Order: sequence, then C-alpha cells, then structure tokens
Amino acid sequence: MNTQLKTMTALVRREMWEHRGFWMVPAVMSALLTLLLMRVAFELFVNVEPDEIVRMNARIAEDARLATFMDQTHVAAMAFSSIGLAIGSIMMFVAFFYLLDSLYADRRDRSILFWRSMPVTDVQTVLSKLATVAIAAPLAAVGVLASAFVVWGALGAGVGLAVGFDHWWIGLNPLAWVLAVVQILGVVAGSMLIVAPFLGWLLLASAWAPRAPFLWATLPIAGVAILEEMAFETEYFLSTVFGHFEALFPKMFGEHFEGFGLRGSHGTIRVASGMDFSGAFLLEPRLWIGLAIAAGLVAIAIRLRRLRDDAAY
Amino acid sequence: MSTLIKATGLTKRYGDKAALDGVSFEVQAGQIVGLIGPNGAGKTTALKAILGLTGFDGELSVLGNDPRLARHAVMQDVCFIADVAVLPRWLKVEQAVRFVGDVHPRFDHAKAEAFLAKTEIRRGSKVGELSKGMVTQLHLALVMAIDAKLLVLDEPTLGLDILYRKAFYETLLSDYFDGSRTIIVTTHQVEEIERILTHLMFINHGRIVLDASMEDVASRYAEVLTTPARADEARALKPLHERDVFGKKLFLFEGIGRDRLRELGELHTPSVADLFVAKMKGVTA
Repeated sequence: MNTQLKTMTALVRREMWEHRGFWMVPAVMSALLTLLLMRVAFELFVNVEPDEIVRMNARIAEDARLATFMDQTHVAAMAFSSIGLAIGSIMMFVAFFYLLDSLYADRRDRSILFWRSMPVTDVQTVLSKLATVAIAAPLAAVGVLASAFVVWGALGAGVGLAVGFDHWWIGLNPLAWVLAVVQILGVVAGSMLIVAPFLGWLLLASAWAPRAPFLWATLPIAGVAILEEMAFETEYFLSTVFGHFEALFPKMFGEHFEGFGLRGSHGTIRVASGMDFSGAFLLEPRLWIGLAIAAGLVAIAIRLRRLRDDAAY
Repeated sequence: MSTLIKATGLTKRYGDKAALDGVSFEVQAGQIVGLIGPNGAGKTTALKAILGLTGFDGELSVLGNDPRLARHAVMQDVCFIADVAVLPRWLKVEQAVRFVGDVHPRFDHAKAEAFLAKTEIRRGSKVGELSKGMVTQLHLALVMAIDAKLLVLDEPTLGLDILYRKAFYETLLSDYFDGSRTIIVTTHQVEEIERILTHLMFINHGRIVLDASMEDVASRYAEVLTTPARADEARALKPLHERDVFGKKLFLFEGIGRDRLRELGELHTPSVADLFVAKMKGVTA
C-alpha cells in the first residue's frame, strides 16, 4: 500500500478506536428501537383483528403503487432508510462534539507529544479528522444499521407470518437493505458537502481553543450576529449562514420526493415511491463558495495545529 | 563520525526573556549526550527546536534538515519520549503497537513484542490502566523498536520509582544503544545517567556553560579533599567551588595540573552532580 494511504488509514483507524460512539451510538439506538419494535409486534399479535388483516391484504393487492416487486422493494427500502436517517440525524450531534474535541483533547492531555513524535504531518492529522467524520463514521454507522435492517426484517416477517399478512417477507428483501444503505449514504454524502464550511469551522475552533472549544465555536457566531444586529439592525450574517443550509438541502431531492417516512392516514399507507435524488444542489454557486470557505478554514486549522502545539509543550 | 546536529546562534525568545540565547553546539553520531540544566534553563526549548516543535532564530540542522521546514523528514529518523504519561489513556497496548507500526516505516514489530514480553504489560490493557512505570516501559518498547538515528529523551523517568528508573536506563543501554545510535537525554536525576553518558552539556539562562566529552571532563576537572588549614593555599588556585565535608574542605578545580593538586590532598574526579552545582553557582562559601 502507498505510504500516504497507509498512514491516513492508520490515523482514521486511531480515531475510530478513540471514538467508539461512532458505531456504539447507532448500535444502542438500533437495539432500543428493536426492543420497541418487539413490543409493538407483540401487541399487534395479541390485539389484531383477523378482519383487519384481511382488509389490509386486500388493500395492498389493489394498490397500484405497490403492484410490482420493485415497488414493494422501494417501500421497504424507504422504511429502512427513514429509520436510518432518523438515527443518522442524532449522529450529527456525535460528529459535532467529535470535531470540537478532535484537535483539542490531545493538547489537553498532552498526548499530542506522542502523536507528534511520529512521522505524521499536520496536514495528514487534520485531514484524517475530516475523513473520519465525513467518511469512516457514516460507513461505520451504516454498517451497524445494515445489520439492524436484517433483524428488523426478520422481526417483521415473524409477526407478519403469525398474523397472516400476505407481504410478510417485504422486510427480508436484501435488495431493500442495499437500496436503503445506498440512499442513506447518498443523503450523508450530499449533506457533508453542504455542511462542509461548518465542519471546517469546528476544526478551526478545536485547533484554536486554549480551552472550552464549544464556546470558541459558538460564541463568535453569536457575537457577530449580535454586533450586526446592534450596529445595523440587520440579520444578514445569520441568514447567510443558515440560508446556506436552507437553500441547499431541498435541492438534494427532486420533485417527486415526498419526504421521509411512512405516512399512514385513514387506513391507507402512503409512501414515497422512492428516494428521488437530484444533483441540482451541485450546480448552486453557493455550494462551491461554501466548499471554498471550508477549504480555507481547514487550511487555517492546519496552521494553528502547529502554532498551538508550540504553546502546549 | 558524522555530525548529526549542528546549531549555530540558536535563539528563542518568549516575550523579552530569552529561553535560548545564541546557543551553538554539535552532536556527533554515536554520542550519548546529557543535557543538564536547572528548570527554565532552556533544555526543553532546545529539544523542541531540534524536534521541529517550535520556531527559533539562528541556524539548526538535524540530520541535514532544518526542522522548521522539514519536520516530517526529520521525524523519519528521530524518536522522542517527552515526559512520562503522554500516551493517551484510552489507547490499548496492542493498538499503540499497531499504530506505530502503520505510520513508522522503521518500526520492527517483532522487536516491540520482544521488549513487551519482558514486562508485565498485557496487550489488551488500556494505557489508563497501567502504572506510570509500565506506561514508560511501553513507550520505551515502542521507541526502541524504531530504527531511528536520534533518540531524544526529555525527563523520561520523571515520577518513576527507583526500580523503574534503573531498569529504564539499563534497558536503553543493553537493548538499544549499539554505538552507532545517538541519544540526547535531559534529566534532573543526573547521578543515574552519568555512567552512560559520553558527552555532557550544561545549559543555564539560555547559554551553554559546559560542552565536553566525559573524558575531557575527567581530565579538566578535579576535586581535592584537604584540611581547613590548607584552604587558603587551595583558594589561591581559584577553585570553581568549595564546600565542607565532615570537617574537611572539598575544592573543585578546572584546568589545574593533577600533580599540583595532589600536593594539596586527596584527588577525585568530580561527579556530574557536583560539577553541575559548581558550574551553576560558582564559588559559594
């Protein structure tokens, strides 16, 4: 293996050793959800009216949107990816605190002297933190989720068979699992590009903070917003920062996107026909300006990494 | 012998205080250099400059590279143990071994395992679960398994009990040093390292006050134990330092012929610690 790649792999692996939350949080969430689903399944099994199942089987058989195997695969994938993305949104918090700590914790406990005694450059170190949060952590979480899909599919099949549901196998479809994983990774990849300036800012705050990186990350933004409000009575700064996300996130999806999740209303199952991705956000100048800002912030974080270490020893 | 480190006019200021004040020195391959000085003398700053961990003025070449510009190249051939317990607490022993093996091209896995096998360190333990002495043993095992040209030790045995301290230097000498490697070590426990040193460097207030091989030290400096009656005679030869020992007077001289000194009384080679005190304080009554 090429040395650069080998070093980068080792650095990312080191991050995953230290921050086990990247796979443990989704694992615990999935386990809790599994317990909840088992309870629901049990209640369903005990309380279900046979007539209700018969009616439901009939409704699904008539529903044109669920006619083919692929339609049904999409429904199952959508259910899986919705749950996966719900757990994924919690991972945003894990990622937030990870980044805040990433270039600060080793200065605080002085282990930076050990890491820096290795032939690793500051560029490699900082980029490995970015690669961890943007690539390794989502892959780890999706790996955990994929195994959860199998468990949930089996659970659904068990209770479906027990109550006489015709489509009991729907969650055991491996194609649905793969599709869900692809959908989740697609949303994560797009989101990472959109939030890139935010990731860069957190790395910068972490590299800079003499202590309390959380305050260094949040107070300057609040401070600029308050100063602007007092000086000009405008909110241009905040609306630019948050407008970035508001403007770009919806453009990740096409017109046929109907939101995540199963929506049951009045006994009908209404499901989006699948994840309708759109590359439209990639054509927005805003996205590229954001990525350029992110690159600048990361570059400053790399410089600070060196300066701050000087003070730490 | 090749020159490993060459410093010329090395200067580092923190505000208006000079941590290093135009220091010049050389370290040759194969030397074991003891860098000795009181707290705040500039030892750590000098080591940081060598390791590329700080900026500085003046010229410094480490293995032919300027550590400010080519830290990465320097770190291929330089290892250092900065202090005890800088290994992160969450890291497992086996993870530490694997990590160093992955990022360091000169790391020998089998060697590290062999060193660890001599200790009671368990592979699955986290650093936080090890005693201070064990953490140092682990760090030393990792560093000794790297085929580096220069090893920098900054107070490596700080806070360890005497058994670990002795074992640390014994292991270093018997299992690591082979005459071609170079070691720079700073410590306050001078007496523990003086027998392993080939060279001695004293630093005070950012300046080098002594830079000599141990043979030079032995021939240039001598201690004379004499009676109080002959004290004035001894003082006429301008000793570096004098002190009272069990009712007798002990004088430390620099560059006075041994034959002349033998007339005054019993002749000794001063210990590094005594020489250090003499050099730092000068004559004290």
